[in-house]
Amino acid sequence: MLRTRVAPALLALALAAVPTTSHASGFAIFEQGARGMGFAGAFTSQSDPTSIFHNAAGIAFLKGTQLSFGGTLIAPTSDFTGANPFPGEAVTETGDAGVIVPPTFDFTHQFSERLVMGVGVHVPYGLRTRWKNRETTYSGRFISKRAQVQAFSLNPSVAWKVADRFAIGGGLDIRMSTLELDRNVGIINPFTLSAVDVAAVELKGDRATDFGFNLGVLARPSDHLSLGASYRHKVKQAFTGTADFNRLSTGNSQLDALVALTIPAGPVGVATEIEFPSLLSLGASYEWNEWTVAGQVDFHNWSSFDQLPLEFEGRPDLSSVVEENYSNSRIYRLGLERKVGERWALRGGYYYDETPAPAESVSPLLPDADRHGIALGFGFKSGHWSVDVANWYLIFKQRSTEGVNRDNYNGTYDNGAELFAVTVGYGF
Amino acid sequence: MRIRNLIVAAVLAAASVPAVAQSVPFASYVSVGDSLTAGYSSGSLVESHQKSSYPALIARQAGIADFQLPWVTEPGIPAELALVQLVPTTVIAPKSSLLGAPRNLALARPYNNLAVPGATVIDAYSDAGAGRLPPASFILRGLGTQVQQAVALRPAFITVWIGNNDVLGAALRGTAIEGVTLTPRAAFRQYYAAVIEDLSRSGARIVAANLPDVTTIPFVTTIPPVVVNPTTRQPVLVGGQPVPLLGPNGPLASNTLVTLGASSLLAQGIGIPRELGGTGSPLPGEVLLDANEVAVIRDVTAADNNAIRDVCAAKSIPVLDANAILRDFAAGNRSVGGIDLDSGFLTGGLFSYDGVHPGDLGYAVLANEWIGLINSSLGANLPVVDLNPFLFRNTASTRGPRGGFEFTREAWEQLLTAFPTVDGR
Repeated sequence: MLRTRVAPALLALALAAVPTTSHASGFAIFEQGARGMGFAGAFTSQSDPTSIFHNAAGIAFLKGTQLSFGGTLIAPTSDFTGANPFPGEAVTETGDAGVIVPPTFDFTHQFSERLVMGVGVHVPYGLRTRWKNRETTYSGRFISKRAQVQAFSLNPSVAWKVADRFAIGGGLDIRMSTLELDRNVGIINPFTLSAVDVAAVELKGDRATDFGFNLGVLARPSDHLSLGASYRHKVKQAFTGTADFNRLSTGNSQLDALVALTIPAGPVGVATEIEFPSLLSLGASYEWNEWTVAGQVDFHNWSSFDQLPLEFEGRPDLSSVVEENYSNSRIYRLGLERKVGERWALRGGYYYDETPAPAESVSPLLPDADRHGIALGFGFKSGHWSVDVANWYLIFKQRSTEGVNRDNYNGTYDNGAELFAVTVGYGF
Repeated sequence: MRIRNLIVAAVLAAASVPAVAQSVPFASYVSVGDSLTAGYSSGSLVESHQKSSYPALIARQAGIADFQLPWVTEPGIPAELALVQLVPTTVIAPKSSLLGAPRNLALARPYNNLAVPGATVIDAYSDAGAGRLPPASFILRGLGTQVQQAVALRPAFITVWIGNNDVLGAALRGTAIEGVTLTPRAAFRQYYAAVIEDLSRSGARIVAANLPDVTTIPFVTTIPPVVVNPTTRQPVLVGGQPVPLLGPNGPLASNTLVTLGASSLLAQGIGIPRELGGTGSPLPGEVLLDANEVAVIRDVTAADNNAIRDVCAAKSIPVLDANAILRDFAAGNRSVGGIDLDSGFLTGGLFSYDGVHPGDLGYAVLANEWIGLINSSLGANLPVVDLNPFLFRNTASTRGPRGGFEFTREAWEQLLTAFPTVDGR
């Protein structure tokens, strides 16, 4: 009943939302609610409607009916400095991802003292990279001018309080994803024996819907201590779509005639697949008077992201496999909250996020790097309403391709990001 | 600037810890070799490509100011080949009927790049037969052999890549006969040892390179042994099967290599069966390499490379594996930044219009291989060459359509003249 009434509205909201970028390492997104973000994401052992993402068992402790929605404003930056032999030390490039806002929406309802059900819409994985001058001089345009992955999760969930201090929960993870990748095709111009752009390709993977699941447990062995564990299963998504080839004139009619024999004009069917990784989180939190401290370790099974095959229908000559070979990574989180009076709470935290990307896979498509995250936030409650606000400041380590990038496109990426989240809650 | 840094670094290293790997004093660098070392490109020795020769690039990266080459003015000696037309027929021909001229003849000492196009290992060592290589007159200038002049410069550092012409002639002439188009392997070993022995006496640090497999170069890999539709550039199928070209012994086996020298003959219908509009007469053996000839070339190349390995090992001279590098080129393993590079003719990006020698980009990639070996084996720290200017330059040249052949007879004969047989001395 719940699903039939709420799901279409949630879906409409989600699909209307602005696409998103990657702000945990790889292309995972942990910005799922401003309260959790105030704890630097250390939220597996806590409880609010966004627990539908963080730990489904958490909603078992929510009373009545709860509604929560919000978004995170993300302003990423990326600077690249080339290295010899290519694209050369003289080359610098700048990211142009813009400001983006992944949404969150969560709804829970207590059906009995022990049973709580809910549904959430989150963007657990997403990516957007885009580079300035990508239609003209951008030196990485033959690898990726613009890349975008959006994985929406519609997450109906159920939690059962097995005992007063112990709950289990789980959810069905209905994953709806799209993928876009724009790049140019370059060839050697036989007249100059140097490179020339012959086509711009816009590749679009239509929405793929696949299913996963998530499970969690939350224990409160004492009034002070909470222990949480949650697991979100990997989801393998196969995309079909089209690659639109727009031929670019080389300025030489003879060469254009030859290109016309080999490069298609118009749409070509394309297929690809991504296995979005599983995530295991283990966390603990301790409340003492007005203080709460929370710690968490996330285990991200990124090794499932081993390659990105691009198969062009009937054109094996254009098909390729982008090797990624990510390795598993961990994220360490620590958060602190101090309640001020009945209504206010101040929060702060820190996390360290290891990149899963090997140096050879660090590319204009996804220039991933280790990062430190510093979180600040506050919450305010009044009657039925609550508002949470959080700010994340990310400090990325410089990331060099160490001269081993698979496309021989080498240099150093210097990324940064600031994130600002607001979540509004209403309890009935 | 960079030299000064190197010198400062060397002084500091020497002053502090004597055992530290000494940096190579590149100020006096000499290169010995053949066309591949001279920077020969598109059938020509010409300054616009000589400046991209790998020794010139190594010298530039090492900050050597006074690295002298036997510069030749446009349009080169012989005149550089150009892509005259791409469609409907691809035409490659000399871009001029004139010749360039040497313009550094007055240099009062040997050149730093002493490489002579066409030189075999014997030519590097001995004056006998020098007359058969016309460029020797303005590169060596009667001042002695390459080896003699190299030693006379008292260099601190020498690169030597010699021996390519001891096997190349077999591919250019479609004829693999040891003693005629291939230097006998015993003689190769003997003279190679002599070259290295004399160069070693100079006391210079030496880095050498071995020989590529000339059966992978576009001169012999471009034209398939089957009839091709000139418009679609795909094999003509009869009954679903490609139709073999005709050779002296009938239809060509599918593993026969057809050289660019066949191109002007095919354009006249020679080698193409009558049923498909050809003359029905066979292609001559001199434009074909059958499986046996390929095997002979590879066998001699392997023997010569063993000789290079043994001789250099005895002198602790590092050897650049040019054979593996060219194999990598052929396999397409040298793509950069999303642009595919391989040994393909015209579109592969690494070879020039003669199908035998690298173009500027190919030479720059080779220079980086040399620099990698110099750095790793001699404890140097030369920066690699920035490939960006070689990969992206907008000097689009187009000419009006003109009737003609793919690889013109002039282009072919120009190559045969520049690279005479090894028995011609």
